[in-house]
Amino acid sequence: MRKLKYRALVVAIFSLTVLALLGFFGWRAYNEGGAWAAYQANGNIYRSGKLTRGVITDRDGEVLCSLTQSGAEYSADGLTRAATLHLIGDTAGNIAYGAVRQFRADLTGWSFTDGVSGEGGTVRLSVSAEAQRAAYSALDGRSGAVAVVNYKTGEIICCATSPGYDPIEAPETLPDGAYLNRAISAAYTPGSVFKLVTMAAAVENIPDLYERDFHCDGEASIGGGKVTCVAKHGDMKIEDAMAKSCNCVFASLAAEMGGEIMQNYADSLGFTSKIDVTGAVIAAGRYSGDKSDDIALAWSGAGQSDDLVVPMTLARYCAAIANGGEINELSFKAGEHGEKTRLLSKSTAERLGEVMGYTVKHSYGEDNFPGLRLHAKSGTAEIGGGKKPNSWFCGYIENEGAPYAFAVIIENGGWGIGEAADCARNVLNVLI
Amino acid sequence: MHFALIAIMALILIRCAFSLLFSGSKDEVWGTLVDKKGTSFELTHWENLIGRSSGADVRINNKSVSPVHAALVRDNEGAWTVADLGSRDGSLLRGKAIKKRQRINTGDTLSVGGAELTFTRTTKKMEENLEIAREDSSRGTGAWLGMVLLTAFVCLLAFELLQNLGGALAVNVLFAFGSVLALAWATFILTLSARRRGFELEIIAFMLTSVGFAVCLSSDPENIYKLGICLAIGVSLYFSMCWFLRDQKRVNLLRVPIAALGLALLGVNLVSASPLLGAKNWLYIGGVSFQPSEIVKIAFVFAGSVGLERIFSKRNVVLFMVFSAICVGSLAFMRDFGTALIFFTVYLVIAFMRSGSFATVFLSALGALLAAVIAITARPYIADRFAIWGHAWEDAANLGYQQTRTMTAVASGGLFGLGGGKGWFDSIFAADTDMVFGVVSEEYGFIIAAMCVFCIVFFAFAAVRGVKNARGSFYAIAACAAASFYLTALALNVFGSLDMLPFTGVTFPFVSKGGTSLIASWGMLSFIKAADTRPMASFAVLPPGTRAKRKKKPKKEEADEEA
Ligand SMILES: [Zn+2]
Repeated sequence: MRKLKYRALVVAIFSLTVLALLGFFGWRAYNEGGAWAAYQANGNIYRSGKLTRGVITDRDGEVLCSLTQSGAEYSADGLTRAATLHLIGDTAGNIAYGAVRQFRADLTGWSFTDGVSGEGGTVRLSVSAEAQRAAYSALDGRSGAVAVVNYKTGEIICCATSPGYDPIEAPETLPDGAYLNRAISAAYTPGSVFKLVTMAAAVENIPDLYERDFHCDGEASIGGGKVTCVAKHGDMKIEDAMAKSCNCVFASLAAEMGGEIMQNYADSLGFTSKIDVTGAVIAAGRYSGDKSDDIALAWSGAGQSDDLVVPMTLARYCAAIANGGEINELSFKAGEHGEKTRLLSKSTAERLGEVMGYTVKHSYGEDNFPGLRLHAKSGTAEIGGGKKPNSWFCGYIENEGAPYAFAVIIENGGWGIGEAADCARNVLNVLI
Repeated sequence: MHFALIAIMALILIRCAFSLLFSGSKDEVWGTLVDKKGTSFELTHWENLIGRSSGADVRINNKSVSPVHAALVRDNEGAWTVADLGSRDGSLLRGKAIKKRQRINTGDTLSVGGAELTFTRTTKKMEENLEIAREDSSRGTGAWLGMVLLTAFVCLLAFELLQNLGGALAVNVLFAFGSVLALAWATFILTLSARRRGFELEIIAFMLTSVGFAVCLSSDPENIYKLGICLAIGVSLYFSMCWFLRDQKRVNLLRVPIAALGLALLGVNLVSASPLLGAKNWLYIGGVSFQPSEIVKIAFVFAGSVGLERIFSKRNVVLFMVFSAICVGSLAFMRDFGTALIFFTVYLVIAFMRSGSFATVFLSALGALLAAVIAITARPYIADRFAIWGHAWEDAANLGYQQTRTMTAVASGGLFGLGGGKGWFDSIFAADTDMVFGVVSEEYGFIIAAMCVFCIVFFAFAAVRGVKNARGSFYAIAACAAASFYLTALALNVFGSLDMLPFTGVTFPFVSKGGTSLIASWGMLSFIKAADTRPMASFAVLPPGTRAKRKKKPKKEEADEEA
């Protein structure tokens, strides 16, 4: 019988295994339970696939949407509804990254101890409703987007897109691309704003960049092709090449450095891949340094050719420039600071900041942006097909209380320093 | 919030664990062997192994003694026999070689190898122990308090469900918990009147049953009447089996017929079963449906559990292996893969208990693995089940349907639950059987659901604890086999529904809704009860001397008993 006593220990081991598995499951439930409870099949908190609890506010606590048993209740103000719709999401689920979907685990009010037995949760978004309204009004029905991020924290302060619609009084036929959040999900030809990327590569790869004398005759031949400028820019140093946005200079710099180096910078600065941020995924842009002819490579350094840039990615890059090359990864949730990510070395970031400041001073005029201490770059992206160019404006402001970097695009807006800059000024003025 | 329910449940579990698992119980002493030097070996079981092996009960460290030499066995009437277990040097009784089993009496000398031992049946020490036990049982306050706690637990559940389910179901609720309490108190009084004081296993089983009834009330309240009747049948089966298991001779006599009956039942099932939801494991007789495989589990325990002499004289387990293969094969053929897996796991435990050899177990596991691979490749839908295992969320709408919803339910309930009858999960098909852990977690909280798991684990430890003092190896193996049935079903049910094991659709013992399963769970408990040899504790164990006093015996025997 003593033999059996020892053999019976297999049953004890079996029991302990069961207990260990149960403990392991408890640990999983502690970590993943929020996501499990937020599953749409959960009849406790969903009615026909729609969450029935939770409140979404802007960064200042202004309620943008309350979810109830009878459906989603949006803001009472029509402009606010339209300006924030893409951040909250529509009830039919056509909008990709609404907070209703992205933050549903927070909206359920789930906790490990109480499950979903308590009240729904409140999600405070990082965006400012005030800035959203200003941006949406400034876009004024034109297709375009405004992206503003806090470069010290990575919080997204404004992520406006147009055209949108009022979810309560939606027109019968929605404008084209009304569901698309252009700030994070659309990629555009960048034009001159891409010179900031070429500049970053040049600062680190061309040792005598700041000593060099550049000359522009309004056009330059590279590899059998021709790069043109809007004017003859004459003799200049690199700062003026940026201020005057000389295609010839940046195109030849790109050709000089070669496709591989340009590709590396476009990649490492985040322009070519999807970026996971808290609450959304920013779409990938496009840059290809692997070109068969030098002229195409040259044009790509001036933001033409087949380059594509997503507005939020550009704002993120400007944030890195403003913040010494390093940022907290972006977030749509207030108070949530993403992982530290370094895009540029500190000295390169400073060089870029200086040249953007120089550009504002000598090209755009500081008086046009009173009180902003602006560093910026405009872009006028030719898109062909007889259409007006896309208008870009990106940069950052030096302000302790409002450390914001931004990017604005207005489709077919014409000159960057015109439409897009006006729009940026309106939004920034609301924020400071 | 279920603070009171949690507190009572925890208290019941802790009290039962202390009194059954941690109370140091004295060995029963049934006789002694004294060698020439005067060293005395106490015989603390009804089946004792003599040999050189460290696992022998009478261990004689002498080269001429085989590791497993001889077995000394007592029967119900107190008569002892000795058998040689194929030792190298043989055994002598009163100077003559032992060929087959032979009677041994007080004063007889037994020679094993070179060692000479004098046998004595002692009753004196047992009488003393018995006296102490009788005093204990006359106090018996522990069990009373346990019953009061159980009653409070059941009443709290009833009160909560009365409140949450509304007046329309008041009768169902009162019937459910009324029948639990009535049966619990009736059997408690029966136990006391049989002068037994151990009631821990029953209290835990009634507690689990009442949780199962609560689940049934919120998912399928009309079914509660059928379950109530099944509980009565189950509890009756339990006590009948306890009574039956008291007599080892009777058990040995009927062991094989019961196993044969089990096979026959499975055969009938195979031939005439109606397919229900893919698995053809249901029988309909006179409008009543039942799952024969649940009852076959009990036959399986009888078939697999054997006496010490048999274990060590016939070392192979071929017959039992064949029996198991038939069971597992039929179940697999009926597409009840979960139950097949349970039978197979229990087979492994029994095979190990009997052979002590990992090699045997390993070989059969290998064989089964091969068969499983063939089964999986032949039946694509089983392959699907395995494919989704661990990835339920990747196909939450289809293959991971049950698992993802169970996890959602568990998370929704938190630690304290949403309240009995207030969950959403019980409306999902088969939530109250295959995914019952989710229903309990959602409505009563993870703590209570986890404590239901502890209850089953408690049964398993009770079995392991019982083996230490079990009178014979039949009881030791049967207890462990029963515990393994519980544990395997529990593990597959709970962790299958939580995507930590493949989802096979088996029942949580006592808790899952299902009449046959409830009856079988109760019946199975008698095997664990029969291994509880604390003095005057178990209804399934005869106290020393009882039988001898009642039954007429040859005069010589009587004299021995008194000596
Ligand atoms: Zn130029």
